[in-house]
Amino acid sequence: MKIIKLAWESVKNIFQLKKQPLWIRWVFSMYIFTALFAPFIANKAPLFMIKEGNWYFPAFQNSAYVIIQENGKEIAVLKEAVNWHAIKNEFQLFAPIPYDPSSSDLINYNYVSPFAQQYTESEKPPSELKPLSWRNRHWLGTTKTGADVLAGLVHSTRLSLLIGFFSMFIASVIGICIGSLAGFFGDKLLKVNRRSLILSLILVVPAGFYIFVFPENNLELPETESIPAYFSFLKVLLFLFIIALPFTMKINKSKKDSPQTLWTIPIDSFISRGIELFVSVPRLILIITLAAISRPSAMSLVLILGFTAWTSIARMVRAEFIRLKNMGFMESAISLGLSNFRQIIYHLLPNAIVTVRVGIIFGIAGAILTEAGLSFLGIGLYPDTVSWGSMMAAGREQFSAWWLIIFPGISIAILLIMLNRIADENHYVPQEKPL
Amino acid sequence: MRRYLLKRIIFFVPTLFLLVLLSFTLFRLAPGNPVDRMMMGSNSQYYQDAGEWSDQRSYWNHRLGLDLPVFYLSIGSWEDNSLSRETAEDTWKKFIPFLHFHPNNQFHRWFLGDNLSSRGIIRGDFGISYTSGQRVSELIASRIGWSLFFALFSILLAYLISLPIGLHAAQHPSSLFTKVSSTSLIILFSLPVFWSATVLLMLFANPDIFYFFPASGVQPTGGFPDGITWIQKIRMTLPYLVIPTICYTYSSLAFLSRIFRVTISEVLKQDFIKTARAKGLSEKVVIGKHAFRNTFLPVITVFSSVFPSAIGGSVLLETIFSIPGMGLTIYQSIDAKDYPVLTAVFFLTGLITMAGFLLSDVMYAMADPRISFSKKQVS
Amino acid sequence: MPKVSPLFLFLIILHFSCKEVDKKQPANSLNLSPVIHLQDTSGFDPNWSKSNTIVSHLNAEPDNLHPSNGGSSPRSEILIQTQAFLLITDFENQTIAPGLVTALPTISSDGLSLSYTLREDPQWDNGERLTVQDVIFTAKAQKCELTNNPSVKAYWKNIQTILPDDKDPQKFTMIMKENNIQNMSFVTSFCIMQRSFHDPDNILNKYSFEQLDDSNFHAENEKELLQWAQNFNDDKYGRTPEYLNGLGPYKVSNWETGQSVTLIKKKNHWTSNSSESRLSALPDKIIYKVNKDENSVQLEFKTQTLDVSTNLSMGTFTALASNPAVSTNYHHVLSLTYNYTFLCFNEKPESPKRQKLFTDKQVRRAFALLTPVENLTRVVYKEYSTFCKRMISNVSPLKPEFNSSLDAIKLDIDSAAKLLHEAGWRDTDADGILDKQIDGSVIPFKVELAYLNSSPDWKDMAMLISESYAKAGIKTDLLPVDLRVFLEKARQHDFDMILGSWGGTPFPEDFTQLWHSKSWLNNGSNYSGFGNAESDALIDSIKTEINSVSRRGMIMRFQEMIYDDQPYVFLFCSMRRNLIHKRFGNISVFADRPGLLLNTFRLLSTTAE
Repeated sequence: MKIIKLAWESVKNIFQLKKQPLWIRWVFSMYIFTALFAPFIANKAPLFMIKEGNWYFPAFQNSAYVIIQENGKEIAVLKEAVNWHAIKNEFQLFAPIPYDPSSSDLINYNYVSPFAQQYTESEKPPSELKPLSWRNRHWLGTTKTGADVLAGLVHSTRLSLLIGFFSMFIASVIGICIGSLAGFFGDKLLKVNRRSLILSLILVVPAGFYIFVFPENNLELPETESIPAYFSFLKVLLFLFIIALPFTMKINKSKKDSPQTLWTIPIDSFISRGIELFVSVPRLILIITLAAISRPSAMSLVLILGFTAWTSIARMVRAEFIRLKNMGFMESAISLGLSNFRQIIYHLLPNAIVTVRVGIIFGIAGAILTEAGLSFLGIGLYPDTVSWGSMMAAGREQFSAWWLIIFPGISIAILLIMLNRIADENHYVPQEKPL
Repeated sequence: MRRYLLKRIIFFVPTLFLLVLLSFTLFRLAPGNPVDRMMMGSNSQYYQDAGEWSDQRSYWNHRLGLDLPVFYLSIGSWEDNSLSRETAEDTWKKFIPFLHFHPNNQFHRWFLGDNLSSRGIIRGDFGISYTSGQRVSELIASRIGWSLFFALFSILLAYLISLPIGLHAAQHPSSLFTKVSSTSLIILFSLPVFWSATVLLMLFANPDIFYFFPASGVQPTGGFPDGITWIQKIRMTLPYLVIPTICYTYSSLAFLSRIFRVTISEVLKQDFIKTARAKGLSEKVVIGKHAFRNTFLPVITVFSSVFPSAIGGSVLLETIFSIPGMGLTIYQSIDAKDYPVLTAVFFLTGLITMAGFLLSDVMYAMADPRISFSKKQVS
Repeated sequence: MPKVSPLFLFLIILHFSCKEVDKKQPANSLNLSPVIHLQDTSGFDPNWSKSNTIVSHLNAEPDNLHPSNGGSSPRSEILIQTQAFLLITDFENQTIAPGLVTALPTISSDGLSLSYTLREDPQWDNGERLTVQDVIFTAKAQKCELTNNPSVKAYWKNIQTILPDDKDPQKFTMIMKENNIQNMSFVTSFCIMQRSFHDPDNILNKYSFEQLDDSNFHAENEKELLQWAQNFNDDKYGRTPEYLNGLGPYKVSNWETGQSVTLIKKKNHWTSNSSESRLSALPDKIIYKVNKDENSVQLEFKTQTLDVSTNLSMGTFTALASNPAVSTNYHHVLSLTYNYTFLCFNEKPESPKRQKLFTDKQVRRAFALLTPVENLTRVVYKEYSTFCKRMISNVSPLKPEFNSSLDAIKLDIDSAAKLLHEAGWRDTDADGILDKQIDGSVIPFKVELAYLNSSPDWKDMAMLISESYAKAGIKTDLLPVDLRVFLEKARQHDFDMILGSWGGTPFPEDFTQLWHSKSWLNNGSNYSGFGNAESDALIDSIKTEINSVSRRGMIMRFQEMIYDDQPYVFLFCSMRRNLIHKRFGNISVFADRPGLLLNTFRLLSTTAE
């Protein structure tokens, strides 16, 4: 319980919204609101419908078919294909923007400007057009296939924030773990039993063989799409578990650990060199390459961005820990005999967060920017996923469709200005130049 | 100090080896078979016999060394799998784990060369591009020029613009100019470069609005006319460079001017500046002679990042402006899954970044005696 | 004897053309012919450049210009200007014509020996005359296993030997191993190389054709040969202008990597005094400018930086055609073709990565019902979409052998959903994606649709297709890929569906390459896996049937088979978009690649009105 409370406190400490000026609080909440409620704001299917006394929520039904009562009989309609306006009903409530981000409109297609006359098919004779009502208007114009730009903006806000926050969450977790390990133990404090270490190294060969090599060569495993990702993750976990086994075994504890049987691991040096190696790897090329060869999805982008962004946070945490450990309150904590874990969680981390938050928020901004750049190049997400970057790329095909370039650009610029401002109200410029 | 440098350099070697290993593994794990791709001539319009295909495939597999084991060590069963299937009495052997050693393997060949097909990256042979058949080292040599030019030129320009801004902000932290400039720099900083590049092209390279600059490339179509002087050449090239240079430069302005502002204002607080002022030296001399010299340190850091960023190029900007540099090459190689090129770029960028770290650490050590190298003992 | 031209298949849209289409012209003025001559006009901006230089747009850079090693399509477009061939395609008449030889070869009664006579006049750049030795060297170099040309080696395997004539030094005979319909036509793709330039020490002469064919002969052990091959394969022979040697009227003067390739007309070329039009070289300079970015291509046409393009995307083409400045200065030619666009199913998934999604005929028909072909043509061709013809079977509806009794499958989501339901696909887990139990595990209906990343048109089509499939509860993962990756996936049967296009000719077709089951087995162009004993037999008999009436009946029957099986969803006949500056005259747009012969363009003098 206390840990959850601490985590919440840290999140509050990271964003420090109370300290921000009013406009930032408002605009920031608007972005968060849009992201959270995107399906309520822009949706093709009605949010709510009453038909023959029954209540339906078609927009929130996932299944391909929606079962509807008509004249006492149950009929199944294809949720995506059916024209909801044409279904007889007592009451229908549509979202403020009655479009999906990528649904085509072959009447208002081929780049219709926000100011241009927009049409719809009239009910009576076919192929006759009548002006579109203001309720269904494409307020910010359409794309080449007639997709609604405003609906696209709403859903890409959700996507960008999701990628930004989740990838930075992963990066922060990794960075804090590794950074605090290096900062807390330094080069002298982490000691392991020599025998456990040697045993663990020997175990690598048989464990690797029986977990990875042997089943691959000898067992005919079904190789379907969903299994391997999940399965190989379990395999890696099992492998790590076996390798870690010698360190937990009791046999070592029976004899008293003498300095001869203990080896000091210079964990700080290892981690620092590792970070140096990682930092020298060209991050953008790595991201682009990984994104191009992995299955395109928001999830893999989150993972790729998360696993490549932890270094700066780890470095900050390490430096902060080294500084804090020399301060008076820590010395008293140690003299009280607190465990390492308690020292880190309750005393060091909450204090370190105050500095590290800057890195985290700049990281969010950087991740959002990188995602936009990647989708601008058409890498990382499926081409039918609408995002700020992909809209701008679509606008580049046709300069006269300025609405495809200007609106996403403004949305992303405001978000970035705001995040940079939240991170650092005096300077708002990160130490490292992103993208 | 000497011990520090020695330690720094000794640590450099294993990290470098890890980098080599990392770049090799990353692209060896990547999907796709290079031989298949080599044989997919896009205008192979004629009918091919199945036999020819597999013959050619195995021949090229052998010639490129792809039939070799990947690394020196591999974990496998005691008996090789394919053999044990034939000799039934030895089947138990395939249940026994074994650590195999392969003196001749793909990594060895790639890293050190085999004097036959490859001379190894250690002698600058990064192999042959799958798509163009060009030697990768030559490809990179032919493409790096423009990337290097834009990286250097833009950082120089950014330095020249942001230094006076930073200086002014340090001296007059609350003046109107400081506030306006810092706000506008922040807004600039937050604009994605690919967006502003597109907007600038849309506005100023568009015959429907303003046609001031050409839209793509870095020189006139089909090269320069014959027999013109280099001054004319530069004059003809200049319009091509304006929008790209702006896009390359503006985003680092905020970052650089902030660095200058912070360093200079820190220096200004120090005692020797106060002494200098007390001596009655003019503000110009104080700034120019004392404070200015200290802005040298951040510059080292910034410049050490110029070369790696030139190798990486700016993928987005070079794609937008069709600048034939490294960024465009990388983008195209990723599209065509041309892994030898990517491996080389990856390795070279990593190498130069690491060398840059080393160099800037050494230079810091020499330039600023205040940095102490005895590691603080953390107990 | 009617000439049966080989079926050239290209994945990139081929260029078949007809009369110029202007927006003002009524639709019925579209008349299909493989050659169209454009009228010279003088209505263009007289202030525009008067230099005799053509700037042509390429949307990809050639991989190299090596006379033997390379594979990209822009490469062959440039080689037509810089190299010469034994036989060439006569674009005007759609036949094969003599190039470096005086006449088409005389063929022996068994069809295996082809006798050629070389022309007297061809001269290399250093003044040497073309000899039979050059031809023999070319063949040996192509056959040698150390040469870096794996993608074309198979065609040369069929050459047994080349015998020079004892009496006449200009004559030689090519002996083939097997009879093949392409024994004559394949030489149109290979340029003749100068022996003394590529092999000054005459090393290849020491090795016989038999040795080069022998699988026990290990070329890499022959030191001399290895050295020659290393030199021959060197990239400089494909990139550095001084090392690019050829018999063509143009030579490469400059290659700016990633930017442009510049050809200049050779002075005192052997063709300069020739009156034959196909040997003409009218422009002084041809510049191929590489630009993959549609937007800047558009800008470059508006500013008249580019003169010619044959590979614009439809979006760019329509945007440019509607621009008054462009339409006064450029011919914009949109033409119907025999090419068609298709969606191909993987009927026989072998790879364990691929699910058995399309093994059922019902499912494939359901997908045909789900594909919004009309919307695709509307989005791609916009106001020109009415000119676009729907494909119904594997034979273009423009051809006489098209089976008109087959009906186009119209978009009908409800019947498609019914078919899928009957085939056992239901949404049991209510996640919006249909699923079915196959081989013991529940498989969701997720389809990977691969298409080329070369043009935004493909992407727009793929997005509309995916949207329409989603309506019936099918999740489509769109995968834009590079041409090489696309081909690799298709040939290795590593796909669920692909969106692509085939090029065709107006001539009678041989269906072996696309539809015979053996071209699925050997990873050929039958990507879907269509075919059974019956259809294979029919294909074989179509190939040998000379009587055109009974042939037509068989082709009709074959179309019914394909229509019934639905290995493809046939979409529409592609149209090609050409933009040519009006300052040039004497322009003909041809059916075959590259569509335009830039060397025949004549600069119109602006003052001569």
